[in-house]
Amino acid sequence: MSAMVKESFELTEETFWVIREIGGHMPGGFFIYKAEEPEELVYANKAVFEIYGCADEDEFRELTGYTFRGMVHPEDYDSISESITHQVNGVFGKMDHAEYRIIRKDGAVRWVDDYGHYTRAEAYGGIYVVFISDITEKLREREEDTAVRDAVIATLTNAYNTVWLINDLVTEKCSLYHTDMDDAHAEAIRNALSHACYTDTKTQYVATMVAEKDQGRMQEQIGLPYILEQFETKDQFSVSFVRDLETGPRHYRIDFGKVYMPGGRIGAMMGFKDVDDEVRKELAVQEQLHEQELRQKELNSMITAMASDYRSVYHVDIDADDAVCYRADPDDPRQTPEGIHFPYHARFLEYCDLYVDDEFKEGFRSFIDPDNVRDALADENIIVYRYLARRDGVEYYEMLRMAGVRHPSDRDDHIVHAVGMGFTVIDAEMREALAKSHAVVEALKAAEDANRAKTAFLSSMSHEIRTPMNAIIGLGNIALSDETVSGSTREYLEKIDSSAHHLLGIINDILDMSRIESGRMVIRSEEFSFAKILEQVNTIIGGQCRDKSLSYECHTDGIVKDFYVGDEMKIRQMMINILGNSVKFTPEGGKVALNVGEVANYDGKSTLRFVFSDTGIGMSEDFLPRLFDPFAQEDSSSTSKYGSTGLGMPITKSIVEMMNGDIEVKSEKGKGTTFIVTLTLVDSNRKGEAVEDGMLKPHELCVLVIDDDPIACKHAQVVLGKVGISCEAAESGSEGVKMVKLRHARMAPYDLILVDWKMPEMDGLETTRQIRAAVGDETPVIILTSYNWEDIADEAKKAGVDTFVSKPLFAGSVMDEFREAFKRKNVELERGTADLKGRRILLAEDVPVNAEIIMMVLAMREMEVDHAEDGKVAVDMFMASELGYYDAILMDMRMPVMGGLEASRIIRAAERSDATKIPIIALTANAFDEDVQRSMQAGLNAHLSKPVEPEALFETLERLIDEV
Amino acid sequence: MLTVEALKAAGAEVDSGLSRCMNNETFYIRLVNMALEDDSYGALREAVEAHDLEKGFEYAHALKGMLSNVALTNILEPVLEMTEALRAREDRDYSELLDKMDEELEKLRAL
Repeated sequence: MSAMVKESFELTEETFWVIREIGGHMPGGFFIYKAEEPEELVYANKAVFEIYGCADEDEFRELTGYTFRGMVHPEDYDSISESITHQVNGVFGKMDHAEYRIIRKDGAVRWVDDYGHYTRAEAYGGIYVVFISDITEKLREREEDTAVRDAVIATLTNAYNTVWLINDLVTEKCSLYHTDMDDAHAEAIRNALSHACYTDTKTQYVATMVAEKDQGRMQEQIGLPYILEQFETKDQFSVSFVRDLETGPRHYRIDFGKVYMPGGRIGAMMGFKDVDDEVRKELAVQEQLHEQELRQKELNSMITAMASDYRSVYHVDIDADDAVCYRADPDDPRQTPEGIHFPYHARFLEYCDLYVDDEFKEGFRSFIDPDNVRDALADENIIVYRYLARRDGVEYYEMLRMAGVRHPSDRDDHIVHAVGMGFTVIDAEMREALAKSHAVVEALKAAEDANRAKTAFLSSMSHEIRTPMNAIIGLGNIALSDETVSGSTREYLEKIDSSAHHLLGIINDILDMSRIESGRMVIRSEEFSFAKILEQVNTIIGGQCRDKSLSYECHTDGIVKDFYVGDEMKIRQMMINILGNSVKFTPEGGKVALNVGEVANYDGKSTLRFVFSDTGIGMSEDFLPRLFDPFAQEDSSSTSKYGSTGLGMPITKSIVEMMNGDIEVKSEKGKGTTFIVTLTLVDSNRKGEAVEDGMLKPHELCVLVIDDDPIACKHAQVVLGKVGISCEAAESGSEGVKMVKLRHARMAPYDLILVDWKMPEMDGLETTRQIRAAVGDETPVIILTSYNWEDIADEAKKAGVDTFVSKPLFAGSVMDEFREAFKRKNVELERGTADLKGRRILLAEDVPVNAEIIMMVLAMREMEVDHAEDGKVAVDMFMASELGYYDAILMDMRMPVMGGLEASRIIRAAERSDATKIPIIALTANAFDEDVQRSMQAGLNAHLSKPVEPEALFETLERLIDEV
Repeated sequence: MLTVEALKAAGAEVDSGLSRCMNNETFYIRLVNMALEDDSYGALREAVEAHDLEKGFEYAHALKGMLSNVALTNILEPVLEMTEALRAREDRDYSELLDKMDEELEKLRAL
């Protein structure tokens, strides 16, 4: 053949025969045609006929016209012809290769390839010698390969952001197959790929794309030596790194795939992928797994720890009613072994039936109830139930504890879905605790009993002691009033008397304290005369002050009403306790003062402020907080010096607090003490006595001073002059009496007479007596004295003296003293008693026996009584009566049909002129404070408790009827 | 025949009762008889046994006032205790006190 394609090959009739011989036996198609149009075939072998689907030359001639043009698909001919011409004239010289379609005899279109050679032959001119073969099947295979390759690349490019191919790991030739064009990656990669070899490409890529921390590692791991090393053992591997982007770091991965290239070369496919989301998810998952692992570890160690404390430990899934034993009791073979799951509720109910003592069964059942567990553990971290268990006939205490277990899978609903539970034998502890608590209860009971006994003892002893004390004091007084007793005996009696009073005071204090401590001290709410309290307090404290040569002043600041509703006795006790202390702790020559006044009024109530001050020894700041503690004394030596139970202040504070008041104390050692008490009292409707402050106008007063000492007279005139009172003076008793008589005759009597006690010839008492004899007792007479007047008080009173004022007079207090004198005068003048005889009383009382007694009592004083058997009847009777027919109503409180309170309210609200005036007196078996309070509110005037003592009833009726 | 002496012997504080009656024995004895015949005892028992503490208190309270007046101390004792418990509306077993009351009542009625 090589000879044939030689340029010098001469195709002649002879050589043609050779060609024919060879061609006839060739398996491939072989034909020769003339280059000159119409490209007539010179020869075609049998294989060509077969390619064209022809049986012999005749059929082939018929199909193709025996020309080259006739052999080529008409659509391909022009381009093929041109290509062939071009090729044979080109660089490769006389050779051509073409692929084109043919149309077979049966009409099928097939692909053939054509390797031709152009030559010139003597006999034929330019000819083409062509080898032809059917490549239709080969082409299809090739197309398939292409499709597969395209598909693989497409898949890869979809799977990766970027795909590189290192065609040859030795020559480092590489190419970019694909990259995401919108990724910033693309530009950098293109830049990187512009390098001639992979190593440079890689170096630049790492330097520009990889986060600094990964750069060192990446230079190595995507370097050729590393890739080759990896490919020795595997066909794929991956390298991960982090890219720093403007939007933050992102995780990338490069997948390397070994590629077997033609010629035994090894290449590498590199797929770049942004795996940030996956990595982050994975990291999160890893973290979670790690946490779970830790928790599991903790749980395990917890279980181990618990197991040492517990007889057995279980984990319970409450929602699923599933329990599993973590640690079983080694001594109890009947228990479920460790690791076995069992139904929770049923099993422990059974446990309860078998081992829990009857007394605790109910509690145990409700404790293990799943709903209860859930509820209880919502508020508590751990819940505990202790009970008595019985096992094999042995009783012992056991404790069941449950704690919520949170699993990572739990919903975030704060509901416990699983618990750990453990049983512990707590027999020893429990028995010990029970014994202790029993002992405590016993001790408490003993202490309470002892305390009750103490209170009862104190209370009864105090009463027991008080009875003889009253006798001692009473007899002492009687003995003292006997003028025949000798001087020394009188002195003894006086000492007995003062000691007895002191002792009585102490007993009263103890009694008060025990009543306060036992809560039996009650505060009454009754109308009382505040002026009277002041007067009594001033008398007592004034006397004590004079005895001790202290000055005492009592002032009212602003308004003080004459009547309030409250506890008269307690208020007086409070005042005397505080002032008594002041006197006790103020050395001779000091000052004790009381200021009282209203500081607020609201809602029918008034707040009174009492300021008690002294210039006594005072107290240190340290002691003040303990002042109100029972038996507290700043200096224990003072007990003997000042004599005290240490109960006065605690009692006072208790009393004040029980009256909802407030007590404050300020003190400075060596300077004195000030107590400030604030009390709120209910206002009384009752108006004050005839003497109102307004009536005491200094410039309208004319006062006579009788004193043998001219200086004293002068002094009195000066002092009284300061407050605007005109004052005349007499220098002896007889002169004074004369002047009084004169004034009286002129119908311009003195408004007030001050008489010195100690005077020659005629003393103050005698002078008073003569004045009273001459002009009656209308004008107040005040004895002026610097001495203790207690001894002559009775005699003075008999003589007609109204009160005492200590000398010398002070401008600041003289008006108050006078006002007191007027008040006292008026109270005494006014205080009359009504005659009860013939008074008509309406008695409402349902119990016949009680009614009989009251009627009998009233009959004693010749009163007329109408009896109503209940409140309703009483109301009807009152309404039906003439105006002013009844003088008073005695009202039982608890009655059928209508009680006393309601009846009183109806009567008070009735439209009659006497409805609001008629005295209504409550009668009740219980004088509880709240009852009294209620009856006062209902408009009752007084409250008597049954059994009613006749004297008390008479006195009340006298007073109330008189007032109307 | 009920007499002051018999009452005294039975433990009543006759003196105080008498003093309230101006030491009029006849009058006092009449009141004691009235007090012994009062129907509040039965009513008290009935109310208490029906757990009507409100009513029970009313009756006990009425009895307390009446018995104090005539100073029938023996009957008064259980009545007093009941009055205080009923005042606090204690729903407890009063049968012992009621029996004591009735027992003392019968003793005096038998005089």
